[in-house]
Amino acid sequence: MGNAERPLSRRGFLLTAGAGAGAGAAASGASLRKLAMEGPHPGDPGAGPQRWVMVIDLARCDGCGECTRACSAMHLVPTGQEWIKVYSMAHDPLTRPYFFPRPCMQCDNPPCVHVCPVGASYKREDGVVLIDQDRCIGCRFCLAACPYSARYFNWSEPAHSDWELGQAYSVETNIPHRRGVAEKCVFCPALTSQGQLPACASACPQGAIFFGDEHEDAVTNAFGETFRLGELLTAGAAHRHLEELGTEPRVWYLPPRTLSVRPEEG
Amino acid sequence: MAACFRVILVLGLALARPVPAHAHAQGFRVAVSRHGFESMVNYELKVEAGHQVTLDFSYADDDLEDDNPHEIRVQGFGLSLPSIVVSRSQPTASLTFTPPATGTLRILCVVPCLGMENLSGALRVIRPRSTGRAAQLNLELISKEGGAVLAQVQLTDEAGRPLADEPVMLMRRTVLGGDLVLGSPLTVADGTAAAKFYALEPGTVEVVAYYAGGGGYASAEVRQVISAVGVSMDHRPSGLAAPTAPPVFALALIIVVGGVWIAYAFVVMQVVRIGRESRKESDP
Amino acid sequence: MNRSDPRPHLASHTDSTAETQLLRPVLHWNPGMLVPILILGSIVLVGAYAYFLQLRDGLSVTGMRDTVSWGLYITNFVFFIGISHVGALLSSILRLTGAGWRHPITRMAEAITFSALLFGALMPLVDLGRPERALNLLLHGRIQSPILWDIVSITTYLAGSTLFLYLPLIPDLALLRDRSQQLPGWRRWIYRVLSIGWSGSASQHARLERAMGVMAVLILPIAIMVHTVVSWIFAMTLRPGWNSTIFGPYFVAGALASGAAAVVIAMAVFRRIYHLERWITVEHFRKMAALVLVLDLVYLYFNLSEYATTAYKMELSEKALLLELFRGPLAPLFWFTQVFGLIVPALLLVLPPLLPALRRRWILCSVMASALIVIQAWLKRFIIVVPVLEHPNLPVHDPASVVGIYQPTWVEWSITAGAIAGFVLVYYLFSRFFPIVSVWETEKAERAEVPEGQALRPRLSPAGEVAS
Repeated sequence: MGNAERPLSRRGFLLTAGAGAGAGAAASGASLRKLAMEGPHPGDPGAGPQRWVMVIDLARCDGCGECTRACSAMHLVPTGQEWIKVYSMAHDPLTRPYFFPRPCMQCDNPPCVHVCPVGASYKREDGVVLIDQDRCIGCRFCLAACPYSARYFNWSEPAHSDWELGQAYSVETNIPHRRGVAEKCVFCPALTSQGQLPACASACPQGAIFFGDEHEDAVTNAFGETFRLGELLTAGAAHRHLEELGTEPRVWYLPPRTLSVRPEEG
Repeated sequence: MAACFRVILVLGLALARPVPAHAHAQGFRVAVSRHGFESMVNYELKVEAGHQVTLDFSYADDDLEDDNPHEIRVQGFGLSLPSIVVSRSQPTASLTFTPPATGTLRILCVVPCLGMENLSGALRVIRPRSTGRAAQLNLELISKEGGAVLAQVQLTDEAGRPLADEPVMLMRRTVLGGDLVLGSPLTVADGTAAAKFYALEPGTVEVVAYYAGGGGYASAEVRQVISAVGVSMDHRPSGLAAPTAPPVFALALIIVVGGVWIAYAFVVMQVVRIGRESRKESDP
Repeated sequence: MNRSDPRPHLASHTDSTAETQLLRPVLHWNPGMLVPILILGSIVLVGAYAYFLQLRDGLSVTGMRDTVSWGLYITNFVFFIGISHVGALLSSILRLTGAGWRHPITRMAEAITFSALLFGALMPLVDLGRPERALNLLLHGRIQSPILWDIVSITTYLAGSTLFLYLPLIPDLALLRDRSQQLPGWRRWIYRVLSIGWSGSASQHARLERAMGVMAVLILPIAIMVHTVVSWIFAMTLRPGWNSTIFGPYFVAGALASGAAAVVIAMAVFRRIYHLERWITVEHFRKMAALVLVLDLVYLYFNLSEYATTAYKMELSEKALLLELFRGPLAPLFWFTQVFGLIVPALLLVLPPLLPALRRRWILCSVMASALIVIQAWLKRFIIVVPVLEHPNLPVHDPASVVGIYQPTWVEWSITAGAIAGFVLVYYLFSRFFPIVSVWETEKAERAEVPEGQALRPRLSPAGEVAS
């Protein structure tokens, strides 16, 4: 190796080193660059100034399932999916079970958003977690990551009505539905942006589902009963489901009124 | 259909209470279509407490090819009212009840149909007209710092003399149509009362002050609107939930992965060198 | 290229039968070869047809549903990526520790890595609900997501393995270029191009050694990173059963064990079908058996750590899962992987030096142990992926009502079989295109009086007779 080679080798090495660095940065650069091109998701008009929160009064819930029916009707939810699902919950074998409606918790520390590889699941400033089904690749990582089992996947092409197919796709309604993507409860942005309660809250014949704006410190139910959010949560000793997981859900639960069964006398 | 009518009739009788001599019936016609509850302004009807209300619903979706039935429910105060169904085959139906107190009842359609989200409204139940001397309410909304708003009200009689020790209800309209009671303070000696609330987001806030009357005075109500500036808040998702990664992620990736690929580049260069050397060898 | 030039790598060549024998599978094709190709090929075609059905009808043709949303495809993914660690193990760790006996088997190992990575990377794509949007991973990729870490690390590992497979192949490619007169022109062209004019000069060797040294140091942390990142697909979620801190080393240990076992099987198979008894000796099996034993025991230790600690506590969120594994419907599968998949192979590997009856059958014991370990690896991955999803953390009144049921359909089994057949097919075709035992390294070890490690085959005299 003569002198003539050495400058070539150093320069050559630096050139390839630069190319290598560029190649290495390209992987992360891709996601940094795309933000410049990142636009709003289809049908997403952006978040309003509100920050939505839901309070479910377990003392009032009687497990009728009207919330599920109304939600499924409003969003034409495909068969087999229940975006708000009513479970019969129990603390332990000795206490009586109570009914537990479980919508998407729209967590403030959402595991589903963290793991989405393409940013199809995203958190909006008004607190709602939406899914861009134009972008979703169907990897189902979000289904695995959600500790509340609140997410669903279209394993086959859902049945469509002509009306549904005629709608323009919007992340706020998830209509028209399509195969191979994930979907879930979205706190009905199409309704709340018009000043109405979500379908489940409206339909509850017990008025068990309250919904409102955290900034206004007020939540309302189907009967128009309006409470101060802070007072309702404190006085009612509200809790959040699986709080210890640190997901910071935006759905609060007021405790069920009575869990124990009085024994018969004699 | 006959069964429905019978049910309504029975309920109507059940709800009938001995009514004061000056009782009056309130009747409203509501046309129901996929565009909403027509003849309801701002999706609202005002009715007076303690007096019978009759709502006559009619079906107004005749321009559609298929039948688009609606099932109307009036909810609130634990009244357990029956559902009202209007459709092409049953174009009219009515509901009679007496709201027992002031507040808000919800009226909505629960059948999934083309215009489900349009069919939701409120029945505002207000105190009835009462006789007595007129009272005057003045409401002032004062912005404070940190997004706080002070609602200050003064109750006077016709001549301007303050009325003390009277309850005044202060309510604000919320974004979803409910009325949040801010407080029911008693007026003090100079006839004023106040309540504080927070308007954290920019926009107009409507506050209602309501005096129920009694003790010889008629009821009074006043509304006031304030344009709240709001408090600047940043709720953009950050960290792991952000659309773009925090710099530390990108940095770690570039350093680790970039380093490896630089080493690969070095190796590939060795291979290229090997090839170049052999060519040199073959050309003496 | 002037072929009359003396080539250093052939100058002191004493044993032409080694070269002839090692190159025979590459140079001579017989019709018997078509049998494995046709069988494997048809399995691959069945798998491809099953995937076509999945593309046409959607993922509902599989057994996955909303509760168990990952199944055989992700199992296969983790399995293949695990097997692929053998290349790093043999080429890197054994090289850095100066184990000279590795030479005949390094290329086998690297080829397993290459083939396994190809099919491992394919599996998540097969699992996608919208594969036509896979480009979104590059256009809109979020590097906070473990899947992106997977993509970056697997790509990096694949590139590194390809380099590490190619580098020691160069001198053998040169050999093939010079010895392959009877082969069709296109193959000779490939050998010529890929051998980039290798002539065996000292400076070329120096460069090669330098490059291989760099790769050897590099490939090991990359391999560890790859499987750690794959394990974090599970460990970065909050599901009981996956929410464990030891998943990184747990998976890496399993990968190394299964990879080493896979290469033992490959050693035995190639030794038989290509008559490589001279170069892959009983000593090789003894050494590999020791390695597999150590790795198997390490993996058993990690299994114990994972299951014994959770079982001792029986935390409510994990209770249903653990009871199903220990006593429920999946108990036979679970105990098979622990007893027959880890303990029995350890016995099969540790007893031969102690029992004369088994000592004669050392190779058979090693291969049986390795086969059990490889089967266990696949079943264990299934146990890690599916039961956790079957038992979501829902403290409901009637737990049986929310337990998921997963029954893989023929589509999933076909694609799994197709992937495994494809992996074996690619591996087999590799062994037919390139010598599966590195010729020049073997000859170098033969020639050297003081080898860098121990030459484990009997040395031959120039006349080709076996010396004592």
